[in-house]
Amino acid sequence: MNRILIVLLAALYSQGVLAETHVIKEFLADPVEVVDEQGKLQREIARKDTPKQPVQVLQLNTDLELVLVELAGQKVWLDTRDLRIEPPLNVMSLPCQQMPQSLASDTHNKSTLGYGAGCSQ
Amino acid sequence: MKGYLLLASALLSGCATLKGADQAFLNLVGSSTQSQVQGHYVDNSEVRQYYKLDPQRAGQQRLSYDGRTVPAAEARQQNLVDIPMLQVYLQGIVTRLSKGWPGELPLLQVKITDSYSFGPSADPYGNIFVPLGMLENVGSEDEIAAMLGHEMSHVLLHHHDRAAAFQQQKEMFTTVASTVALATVAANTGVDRSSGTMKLFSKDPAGTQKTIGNTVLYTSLANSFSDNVWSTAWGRSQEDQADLLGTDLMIRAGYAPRAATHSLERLNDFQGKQKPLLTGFLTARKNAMQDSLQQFNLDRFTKELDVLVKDGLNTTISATSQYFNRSHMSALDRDTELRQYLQREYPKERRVRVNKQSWPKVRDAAPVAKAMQGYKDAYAATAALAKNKVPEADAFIRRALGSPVKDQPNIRRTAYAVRLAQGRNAEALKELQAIKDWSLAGPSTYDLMISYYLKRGDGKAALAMIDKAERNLGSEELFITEKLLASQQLQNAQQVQSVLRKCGQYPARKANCQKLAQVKA
Repeated sequence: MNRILIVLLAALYSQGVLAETHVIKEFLADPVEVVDEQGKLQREIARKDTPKQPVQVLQLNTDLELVLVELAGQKVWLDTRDLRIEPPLNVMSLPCQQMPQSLASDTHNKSTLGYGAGCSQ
Repeated sequence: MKGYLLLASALLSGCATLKGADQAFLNLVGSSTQSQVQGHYVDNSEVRQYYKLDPQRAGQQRLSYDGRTVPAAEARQQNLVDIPMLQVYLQGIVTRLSKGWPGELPLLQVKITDSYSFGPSADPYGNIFVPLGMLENVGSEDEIAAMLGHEMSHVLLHHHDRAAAFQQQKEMFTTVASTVALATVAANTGVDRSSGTMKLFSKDPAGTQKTIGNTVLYTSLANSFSDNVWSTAWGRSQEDQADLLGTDLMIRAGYAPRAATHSLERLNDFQGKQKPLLTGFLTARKNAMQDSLQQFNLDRFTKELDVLVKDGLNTTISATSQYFNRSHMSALDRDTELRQYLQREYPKERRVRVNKQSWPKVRDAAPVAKAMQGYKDAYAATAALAKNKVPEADAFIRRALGSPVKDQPNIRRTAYAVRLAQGRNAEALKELQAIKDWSLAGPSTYDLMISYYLKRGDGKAALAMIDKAERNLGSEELFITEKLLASQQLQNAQQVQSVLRKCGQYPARKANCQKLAQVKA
């Protein structure tokens, strides 16, 4: 019974826990769209009216890519496409710095053009 | 100076590859390509010129690729991976993206490689290499489409042509123009610290453009200038164009453009932080100066100031070179630019949600999952060997050898390395001999077998393997010295002469071939 309770509590609060560790570092869009919990547009805020300091993320909806924050005393949902979130929501399981030395250097051939600048290991 | 100008002008006249040269340079010091684009990039006149395929150009490329004339430095380096269901799926994404291209399509073929790096790449022959590392980390088909769209765009916009032509041009010029250009850049470059990190910017883009524009278009291009600034300017411009066109293709194919953010964030995480050199230097100097002031040591303070001025200049130049040497903008800067482009040009489409079902369905299907696990186990074996954990490596490779991909080059090559580490040399060789499909092998895998045969004096077997390598990698140059050795072992004088003649065409190989011929004589 205790185990079930622990699992349920973990499931209930995991999103909240996850959200606690994220902040909005920067508002990228102009204007920024305020949406409802389903992602539907409600209103817009001019970028100049958004906070300059980091804003704590209260809740994160990873399916719809929305975050709940408090702006001017109001709790609002924002779409992550308008925001720079820290730490980032999309990361690698193995950054190149941790790759074995023999594999880290780009073994690409010189005639290719790649997606990124390569590993800075 | 005037003489050089005249000479350079003559060399550069009619040089179409330098069209847009000054704009490319501005991309480094002025506003980005993305912010300058009006309307959808795919409809811009600079893209429309590529709608029509040049059959002669396509034919020439085909001949190079099929005719074994790919230069050794341009041959594929990795082993390929054969997972049919995954291959068909990825090719399907390319086909779907292609439908958004308004012009004629070159041949575009996806090839999965055994690399655990993140980003895909494209070669001039339309091959788009997708590393396993990318497939292990992407979260959606939209994300895959974002990256494949970028690579397709390099091919569609003929970026490899410009890269190759530029390389040729670089060799023709002297360093005179670099003094003018570098001095102008240095004089007009400021440092912006307002965001908390060091950023270089041009204080006078228009003035810089005028000076550099003329210098670049009508004078010699210096190697140092071109390496530090010029080729980087081209590279960055091309990457920005590929980001833009790739996004247009994604949207036209019905993918969610927000997935480009996902892949760029992952790329940023993969590449790691690249701190500018200057920050570290300035911080150290600032601390030392504060320290000496606190101790009322004016002498030391003055010395530190001297160091700052003298060494600071050197460090600034070096930091500038390092900054410019990076061929891509930072991934997060690219992401910010793209999001602004989307808000301007695709206000509705940017709302589209990512499809999180389609990719996991393929990735988790049994044939794909088992194959990818096999490669992951082989990768873990390599990582264990790197840490000298041989029993651990053995455990991982045993698992890989129980997978559906056990006879593919990467797996058997890793098994070979593990057996060698265990001192089981005879078994190591058997691992290589168990490779079923050599068309998947990369040069280093071929090299192992060819070297083995040559050491044994088995010229015939060596030649057979070299022939496979030439056919599958499209490069005669790659193993031409080994071909000479093998021909010598067979004591086939006519063949030796023929190979020697061919080897003479490859400057990087010529000297070795001649040495080998003399030794034998």
